Amino acid sequence: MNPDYSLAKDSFSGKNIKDQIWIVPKDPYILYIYFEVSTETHSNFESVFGYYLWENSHLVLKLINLSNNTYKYLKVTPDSNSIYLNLDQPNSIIRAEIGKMISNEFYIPFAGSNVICMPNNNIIKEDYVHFENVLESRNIGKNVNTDQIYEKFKFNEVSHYLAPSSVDMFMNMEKINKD
Amino acid sequence: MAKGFLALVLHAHLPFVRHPEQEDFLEERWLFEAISETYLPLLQCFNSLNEEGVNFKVTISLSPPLISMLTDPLLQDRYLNFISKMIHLCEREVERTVNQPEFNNLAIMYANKYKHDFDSFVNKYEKNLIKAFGILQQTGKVEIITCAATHGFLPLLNLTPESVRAQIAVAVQVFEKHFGSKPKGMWLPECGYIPDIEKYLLENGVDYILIESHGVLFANPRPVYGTFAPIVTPKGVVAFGRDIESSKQVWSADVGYPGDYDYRDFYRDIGHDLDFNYINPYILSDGKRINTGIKYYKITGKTQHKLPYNPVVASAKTEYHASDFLSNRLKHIDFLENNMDKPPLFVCPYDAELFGHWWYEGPEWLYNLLKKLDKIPDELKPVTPSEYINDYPIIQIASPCSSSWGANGYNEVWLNKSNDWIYSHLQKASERMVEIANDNPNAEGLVKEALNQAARELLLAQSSDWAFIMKADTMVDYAKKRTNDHLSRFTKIYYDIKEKNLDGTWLKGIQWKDNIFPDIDYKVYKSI
Repeated sequence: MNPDYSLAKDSFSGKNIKDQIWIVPKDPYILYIYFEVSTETHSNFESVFGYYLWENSHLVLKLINLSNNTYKYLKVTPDSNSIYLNLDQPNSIIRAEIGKMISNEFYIPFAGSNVICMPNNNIIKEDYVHFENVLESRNIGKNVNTDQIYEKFKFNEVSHYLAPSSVDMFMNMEKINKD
Repeated sequence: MAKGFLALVLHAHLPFVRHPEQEDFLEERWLFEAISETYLPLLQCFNSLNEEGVNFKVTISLSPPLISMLTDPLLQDRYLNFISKMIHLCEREVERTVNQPEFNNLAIMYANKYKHDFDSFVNKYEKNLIKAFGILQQTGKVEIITCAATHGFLPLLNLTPESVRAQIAVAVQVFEKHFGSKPKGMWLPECGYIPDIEKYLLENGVDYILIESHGVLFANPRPVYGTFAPIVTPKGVVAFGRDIESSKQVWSADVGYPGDYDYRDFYRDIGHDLDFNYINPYILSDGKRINTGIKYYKITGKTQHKLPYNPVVASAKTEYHASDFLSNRLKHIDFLENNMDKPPLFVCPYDAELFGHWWYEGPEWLYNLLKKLDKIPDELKPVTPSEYINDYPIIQIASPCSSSWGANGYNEVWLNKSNDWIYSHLQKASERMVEIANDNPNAEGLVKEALNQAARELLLAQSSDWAFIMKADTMVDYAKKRTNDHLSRFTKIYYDIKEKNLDGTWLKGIQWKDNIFPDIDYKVYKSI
């Protein structure tokens, strides 16, 4: 007998406490998503939109590819809390949301996920090559007290010295020329 | 100047398995078998080379759970019980096989080996193998590095960055405690790399990591030397990629050296072969047959009819295979010489337990390899990663690709339908750990003890070994139980702290069971 098992309260009960969605890549192509919609969100939804709409609208995942600024919706079954999706988008930056699709034009998000980059699956043929001397660079900036330096920069003062826009520069040039 | 460099890196790790509540625990045998079959033979190999004046270089990663177990008095004493029982079994085997000369010689060999192990463990190493590795490090021929605290697979723990930071920071603390300085390098558990971890490596003074071949080959931009030179990430961590060919020569199930027909067969063991009444005192107390470590047959071929093992022939094969390994590297150098403007580096990382436990002759192969290498320093020179960085500090900047050395190169071994259920629980526990660390910035007394124990339970639950075992479909019940136990203990502590209802007696019991990292400070989990 293991007395410790009985001591867990909600660790394995499956009781949803808050809305959340997390994404992790399984490999360059497949994304694993797990999510929870809290009982509170469920109740709030029903109190605003009614029981009928909760039952007759779809729980959806919104998958957003931040690399090419596209997204798509995927229906998920109400009793599921995780899914593997074959995105086939290596090297893309991905975010997801869990929400309810009320109609074709009306989507209510409950929670947004972390942002991940799907792993790369190939050799990247980039030509630029930079080397550094790691023994030298390792100490650069190590003995600098950045906090002290930044003490000198007050926000209001900094704003006075913001780089002028190119228009400003041309105006100043004209002024200088006139002078 | 050498035409090429060889960095041998061995990763020694076993999950933290310590059950003070039970005398005879099957999974504790993993450690005892590894001590006899791997750690003692490796120490003997390196000490012999050192005494013979061989200029060898080897890097060894000692994982924090392994360090904790090898320095634990209970497990040290239990190893002595184990070895005494093995000596007794071997003596009976010498008697039993007296009329079977092909087996009797082997029984005598095992009896001598285990008596030697007992003597070395007690008298030479004073039961502390970590101290023995530390002494070897002082020769400058062995570089010891660390691994994450409980071998957590970092790419899947990163949803809570504090968890990654804790895995790295606690590992470095354990290393400092035992070796007196920070580790220069870290073996990422399962070579699991994602860019987000670099910040915490640098915070903790870790200069370099070992990653899988495609972690370097798929880097951005493409590394000009492939895996034959390290790259440095934009944040400043040096990443060494595994050499594909030398890995294949040792790891491959089809063409790897350990599969040679003259080497000892791993599976045929007297624990399964001999009469039950005879072997019963040496197997589990419930009568379950297990591998005893006494094996009399060679691999022989793809057949069930195995022939007796001949250690003299096997020993000669280790010489041949060491020469073959070097000859292949030299051929590779010949090819690369015309294509590179500096000597290539071959990074050869292996699980330490491959040597001796799985590949019985592995330590002897290593001994022969390092000895032969010492004779050709102008052609191929052994090096540690930190020495290489010192000698060749100008390194290409590139961002490695997220990767691991698991099947197919990414996360799927530790994330699939057999084990994915653990991640929502680990994530919830991680968030809660950060929450209670933030809520109690200066805890004292029982609350502090409880917070420290919560940190231990979370770290133990995060061990990549449990997910791996679930996927491998062996000892699954044990892996599930360990995950459940640690998460359940964590959850109780979490609620007890939140409800200000700590049970000191219960907590003491858990501290007694899960006593890893006695110096842990829960504050490592405070919000980033």
